[in-house]
Amino acid sequence: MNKFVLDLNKFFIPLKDEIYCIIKLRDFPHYSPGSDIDIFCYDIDKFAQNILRLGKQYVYEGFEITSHRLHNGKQIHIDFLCNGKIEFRFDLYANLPHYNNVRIKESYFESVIENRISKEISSEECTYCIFIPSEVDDLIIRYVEYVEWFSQVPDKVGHVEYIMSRPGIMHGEIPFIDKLHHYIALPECPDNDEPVKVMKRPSKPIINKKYFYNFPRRGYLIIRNITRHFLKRISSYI
Amino acid sequence: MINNYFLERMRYDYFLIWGHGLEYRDAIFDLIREDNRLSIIMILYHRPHSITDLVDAIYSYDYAPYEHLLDKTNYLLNTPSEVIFIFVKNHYPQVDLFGNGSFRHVESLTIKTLKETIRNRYNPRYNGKRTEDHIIHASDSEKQTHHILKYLGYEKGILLFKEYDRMLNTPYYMPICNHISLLNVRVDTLLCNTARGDRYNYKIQTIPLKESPQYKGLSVNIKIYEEYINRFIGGPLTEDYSMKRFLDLAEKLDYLGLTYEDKYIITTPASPSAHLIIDGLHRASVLAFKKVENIIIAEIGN
Repeated sequence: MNKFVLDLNKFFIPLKDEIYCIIKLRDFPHYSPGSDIDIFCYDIDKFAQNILRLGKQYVYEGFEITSHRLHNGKQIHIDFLCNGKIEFRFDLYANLPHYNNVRIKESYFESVIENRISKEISSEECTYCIFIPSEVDDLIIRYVEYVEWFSQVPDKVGHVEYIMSRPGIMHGEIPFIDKLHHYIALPECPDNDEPVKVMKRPSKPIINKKYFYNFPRRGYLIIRNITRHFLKRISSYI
Repeated sequence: MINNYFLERMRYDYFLIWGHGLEYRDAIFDLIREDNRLSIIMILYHRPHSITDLVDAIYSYDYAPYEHLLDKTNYLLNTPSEVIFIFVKNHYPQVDLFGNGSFRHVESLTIKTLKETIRNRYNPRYNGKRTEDHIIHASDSEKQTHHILKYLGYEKGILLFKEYDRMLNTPYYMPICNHISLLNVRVDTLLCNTARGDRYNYKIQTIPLKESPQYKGLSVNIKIYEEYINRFIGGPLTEDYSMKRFLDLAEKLDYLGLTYEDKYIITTPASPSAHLIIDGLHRASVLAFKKVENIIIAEIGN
């Protein structure tokens, strides 16, 4: 058995009274080396302090733990490194991450935390709860992931398939659309884009009397040219 | 008379021992330490250019009328031109209104009672009675503490104490750390800074941990440590150091255990194989004295 393996249960059992929400829960408490866990929390410093306190035992086992503050202290990475490579990362957020392709109200951060639900996890020691987004917020977060990343990571379309597969999504039984529309808007146009040219209503009718009277001749000419072009194309295949 | 008794959040205050009270310094420190509503966070010796300027600075934010202050502070002009500032964290201010008429003002009852206790014990006496030639002054409000810090050259004022790294619980003199690594290192790779000279004229020298006065105080003679503290407290050493506290630490330290859970020894890289202690020299000395070979440190960088 690889000794350089973190037991994520040991981190979250003592944190049962903390206010947090694990955003992307894949195969918890299992993880693959190099993966991370995204956590929204109100008190990012205290949460990081808890992670360091609970994780320091791994330093004796050969891990190195590093912590980096980003974005004026609004995001903290806590990395557990093994032989210089990241074994696992806790990615803590004190506010919403920045998105380029979608605009989200900042208050959505609190909404996710306040509407979190608990999920029971069984470990060797005990059964305990972790906190994850509600079903609606899980769908919104997947949607945002898709919009933000699908052009670079085509696999993100899986999020859309997941959303569409939820029972009741199409009939409004899950208030996904309502909450999405409340918190999300289209991104602003960058300043260097040219304004979209709006077609003006023509001042004169497109077909005027002169055109109308000439239509039979013009129409004949158009049809003749199209027919000639079509026959030419067909002849190349015969 | 006490009216409108109400509680306030934790705040920062200061005591000032005037020149004629310096001989009672250690006793006053002990009285403040015994009051569990207060924690000493910074001690500063100060030699003002003129005692008049200092008195003006101290009392410029005072509540009392100017004429009263002139009488009150006349005696100070004949005291030695050396004072000690003791900045404290006031966990339980008990702010209330005191005095009458033009002397009515807001003050912390916690600070007031301790100040009166110290004055009753150590103010000069005349015919067996306590005089009003006070040996100690204290702040009435956090605003006064902020003002005095700026007067002493700390541009941030009260923010000096309020801005600290909450993840590592660093002391006030350390900035917020953007990069931290928890490492398991050998104790003999630890270096520390030590002062040479005297309180007002000193140089800082980097030496191995086991050559520090702290380690030698435990391994050779505690008087080495005591003499070092007495020489430099209030100068390069601004925290609340005392022999008794150090010996208590040596007896009870459970590094990163229950009472020291998040109190890492904080270092910066001195070389690829050495670590300079920024905070935690006393704890490191105790661990080295106890023959601990490896310890976890928090190494910081920006």
